[in-house]
Amino acid sequence: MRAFLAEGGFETHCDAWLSGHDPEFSRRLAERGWVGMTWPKRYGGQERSQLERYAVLEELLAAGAPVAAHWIADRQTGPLLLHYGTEAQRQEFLPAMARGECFFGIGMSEPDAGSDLASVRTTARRVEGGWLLNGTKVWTSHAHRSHFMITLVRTSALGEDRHQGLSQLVVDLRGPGVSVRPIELLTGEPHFNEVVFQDALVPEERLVGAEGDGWRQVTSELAYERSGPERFLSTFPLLVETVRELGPDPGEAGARALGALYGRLSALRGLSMDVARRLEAGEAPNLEAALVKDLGTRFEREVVETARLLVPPDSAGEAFQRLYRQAVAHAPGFTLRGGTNEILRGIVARGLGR
Amino acid sequence: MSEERRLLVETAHQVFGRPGVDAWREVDKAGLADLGTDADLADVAAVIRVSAYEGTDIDFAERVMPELGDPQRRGALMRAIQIVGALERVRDLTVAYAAERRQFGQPLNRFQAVQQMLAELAGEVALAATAVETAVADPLSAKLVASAKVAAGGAAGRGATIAHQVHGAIGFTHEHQLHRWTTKLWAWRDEFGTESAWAEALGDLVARAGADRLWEVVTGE
Ligand SMILES: Cc1cc2nc3c(=O)[nH]c(=O)nc-3n(C[C@H](O)[C@H](O)[C@H](O)COP(=O)(O)OP(=O)(O)OC[C@H]3O[C@@H](n4cnc5c(N)ncnc54)[C@H](O)[C@@H]3O)c2cc1C
Repeated sequence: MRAFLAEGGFETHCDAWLSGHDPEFSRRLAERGWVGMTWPKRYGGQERSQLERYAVLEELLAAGAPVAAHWIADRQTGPLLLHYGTEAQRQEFLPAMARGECFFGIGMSEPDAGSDLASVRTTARRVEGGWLLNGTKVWTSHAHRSHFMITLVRTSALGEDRHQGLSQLVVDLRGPGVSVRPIELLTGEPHFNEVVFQDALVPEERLVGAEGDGWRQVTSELAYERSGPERFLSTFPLLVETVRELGPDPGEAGARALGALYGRLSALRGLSMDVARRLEAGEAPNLEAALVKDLGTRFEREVVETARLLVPPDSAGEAFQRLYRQAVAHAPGFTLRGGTNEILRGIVARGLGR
Repeated sequence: MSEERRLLVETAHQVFGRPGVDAWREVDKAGLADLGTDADLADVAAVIRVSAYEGTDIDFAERVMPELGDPQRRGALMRAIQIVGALERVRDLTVAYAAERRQFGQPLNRFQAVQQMLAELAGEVALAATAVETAVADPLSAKLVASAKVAAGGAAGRGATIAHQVHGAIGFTHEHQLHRWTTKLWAWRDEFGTESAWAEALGDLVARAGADRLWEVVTGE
């Protein structure tokens, strides 16, 4: 893995797992068996353990490699289909994902359903031959350059319990009635999208899992989404440059600050790996996953603050300045995407009382 | 605030509020031209603060603050003043958004976690504004200018973080206006010395004065 990364062919970025979209790089990784590596061989996987996969992810993130194109499929849509998908769905999507040729987006959020995800309004009505979708998804990362989107929709009218009547569908982003409008990040980079459905017909067999079971499925997906090493390594490339700038003799204040970050990072790795183990054992460590994301995203910010206070940004080397600017401009997203830290803390606090 | 300054501030809001105009010429035209070298620094500061509030990036420092000598210190004061103006805008946008946006059937400002963030933001802005006003009143004091940049620099980072957190994904887009102020806050807090550079200078000063004179240093005797 390290030899492969040393060959290079990419520029190191902060937050590359979300914004470093490079299909060619994803295909090269897939060729070496590093996409979908825990999945069964009959679906194009390698049958490796979660911890082996974890090691691969960490190497990629530490190097700031452009893994965004396949990240969602590898992290959560693949496991979701393995769990809840039909045999035909697995056959259709998993091998293509594992070849790095089939990219997925996450269609959960809507203009009025952010933190309050259960209030999604996009509807899917059963019609001859499938589902007819109407509504709007928003903030869908990379929808403009992905093939499919796993989409949370309402398949029966909003009733007393808002968590009822939701389902997940695989939607072809180039299908009829689907329009995708890119939305730029504050940096001007294209990143997320608004995806509008106007009588979009989705074939019957694209329903994932049971009709009406969407909320439970989404919740299980979120444990994968929230607990991985990408939740604390987004700014690691900046930490590398900070250490380089400070050199072997960083002074007392420098040593203390670097040591504090190092200590925290080691502990975070332990916590996150523990969630990976529990996911592998078939548990649903939702509270622990929320904890990892809350702690990890705050650590990512701490790296940025420590870096700028130790190394005057305006007189630092070129690499530091580039990574520092990326880290600062991307940092607002860390504590929003995948559930805001306020919402995560609510999950943790409620879980602790049990 | 004197009646004259209130008028000045009002006019400044109008001229800087207009996009695509040469700020200095507008200031001239509006009769704010006597903000030249012998103007009251507090007046100059008030105008700079408004320019930042309105999202206009101008560099008055060379023209209006030459008597402040040391360019690093002058630049730091200039940036601290701008940070306060930008932070006031960021606070106003955030308070308004939290009242308007609803989730779970309520406006965001009904959630205690959001209230905590809003209060923290308001506190940061108030603290930075006071530190800057104090420095403007005695701009040759190295200690006060250093304190102003430390307070403003810290508030810039923490304030921008809170503003983005409360705005959610929409504030993270280019379409939304928030970034016009937050990206400047991120740049200005690093220019002419970060908080740690100025804090070091302040810390040296405190240490040299010694334990028994600390309170005198605090009270400015
Ligand atoms: C970079 C990025 C990528 C994203 N990618 C995707 C994607 O691919 N697919 C997708 O579906 N979504 C995506 N999202 C959307 C993300 O999931 C939402 O931003 C998030 O759920 C918050 O929703 P919101 O932005 O509407 O903020 P809001 O829900 O409006 O929240 C605004 C503020 O209010 C607080 N708040 C809200 N409710 C409460 C409460 N009950 N108690 C306390 N505080 C509260 C929040 O914590 C936040 O600080 C992405 C977001 C970002 C920033």
